Amino acid sequence: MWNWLHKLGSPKSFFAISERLLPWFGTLALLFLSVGIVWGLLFAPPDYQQGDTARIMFVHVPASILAQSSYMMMASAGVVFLVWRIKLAEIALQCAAPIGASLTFLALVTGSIWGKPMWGTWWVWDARLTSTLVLFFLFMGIIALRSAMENRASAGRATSLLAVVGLVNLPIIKFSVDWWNTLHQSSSFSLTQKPAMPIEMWFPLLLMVIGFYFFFFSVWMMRIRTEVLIRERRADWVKRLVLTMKNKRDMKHAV
Amino acid sequence: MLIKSIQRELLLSMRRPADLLNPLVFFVLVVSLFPLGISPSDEVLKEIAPGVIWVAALLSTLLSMEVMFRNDFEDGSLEQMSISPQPFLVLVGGKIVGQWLVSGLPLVLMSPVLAVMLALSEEGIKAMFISLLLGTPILSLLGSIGAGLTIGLKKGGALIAILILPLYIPVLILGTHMIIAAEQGVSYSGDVLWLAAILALSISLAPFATTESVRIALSDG
Amino acid sequence: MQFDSLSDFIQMNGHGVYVWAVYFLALGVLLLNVLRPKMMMKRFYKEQYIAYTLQAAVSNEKLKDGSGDYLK
Repeated sequence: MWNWLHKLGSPKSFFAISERLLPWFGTLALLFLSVGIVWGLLFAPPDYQQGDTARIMFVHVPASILAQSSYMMMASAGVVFLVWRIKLAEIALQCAAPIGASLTFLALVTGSIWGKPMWGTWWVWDARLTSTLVLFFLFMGIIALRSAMENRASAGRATSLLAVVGLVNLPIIKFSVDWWNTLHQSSSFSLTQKPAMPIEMWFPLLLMVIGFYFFFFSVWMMRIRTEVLIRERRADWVKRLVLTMKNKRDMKHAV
Repeated sequence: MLIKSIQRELLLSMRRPADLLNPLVFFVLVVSLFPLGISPSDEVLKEIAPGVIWVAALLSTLLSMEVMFRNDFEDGSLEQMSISPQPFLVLVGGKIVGQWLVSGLPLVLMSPVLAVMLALSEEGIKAMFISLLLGTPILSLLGSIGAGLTIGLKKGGALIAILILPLYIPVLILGTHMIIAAEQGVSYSGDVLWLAAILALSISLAPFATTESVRIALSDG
Repeated sequence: MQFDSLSDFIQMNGHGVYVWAVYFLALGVLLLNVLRPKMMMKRFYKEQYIAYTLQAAVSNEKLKDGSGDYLK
């Protein structure tokens, strides 16, 4: 087990292992997402209160879940890097940030679009929307810090540290925002309160959540693979790979 | 050792009164913009006062954070400290305490005057004073992490705001709620305990993160 | 199937704009996330091939007269 983990930690073997895993993850993501979308759009019943707007849920809820758990995964990579100094963890962290930020953005905008027919306004300072907004700021902090630091090695350490500091603070922020929201309760309807969702809605939602997870892992792997190549570009195995890729491209043109 | 390093910090800032005064002037200025921008009537001011004072405190802390390590970094003494036989953690801790003494504390002491100008009641002023007294050290501690990370960077100013402001949210919520509760005559001892708990947590964790962040910034150079 | 006709499906009882906006936005965000690393990978292979050929040329040159050292 440890041996296997150790192997995964080296950039070269990660590249080899992910080569085999990536098609599986990609196919599963595509499968779950397309079945989930068709089911959610065509076959799931409309909500008895919200009507067809409830179909927004099949995008909004998975995006929100992924927004949070991608921050968790990113920050865990930061912990791994700070404790064990595994280079791959730091690469993984930096590659997760833009994906996480884009999913958080998706969660925010879809929440806002959902709010329009539900509440009559585009934005309500609802507890979950507000903490998603804060999460978005945390992601932007990581991205901004990374782009401001020129040295790759210290950028990795700095973003790891910042992600871990954010991880420690996140529960406190979430708690305080929830508490603040109960003080200033303005809307009686909340996105989180779903009185006994029928199984016909629950199942496609589950598919979408699983699909989003597979999607996240797929694109995360793709980004890490590229970053590994860029960092290891002086290594022999990368050189050989580049040359074989060139040959493949030439063959394609010849045919 | 810690006291020595705090003393050094105080002495250095005495020699540079502008760094000491600017955040304070900024604080007063920002607060006084709101009556001009919104309305000078007592009811409106009472309503917005807690938020205005706290947001201004957040921003002016951020302003003083920016210069926290800069001078020591530029003349190389920060690098010296990091390799000196004294534990770096204590030196950094001294810098944080010193930073709060010259920027946080004056702000706390100044705030009752502003609170009177914003038509807060006596109870409200008391709560505000306590909330700032407990809250500004948290701001200094958390801010020092961001200050460390952005030491040698050119666009440090805006960057430190993006890094640190999200972390300030719980303090802002608790601090303003304390003042609002006091204005309404409700007990706010729960908020005091929460702020104290966050302060304790920050004291025990933030100096380590700051030390690490300064180390990273030094190795970046 | 919850809808009787295609136009019903598009309109979604008047909420179509919101629902479709969300789904197309999601599609856009997901696609961007896939295309960006693909593009970066492709660019890496191309640029790196050029870099290697350049390097090889420089070291060949060096064998002859020792010039081109500064390029390394």
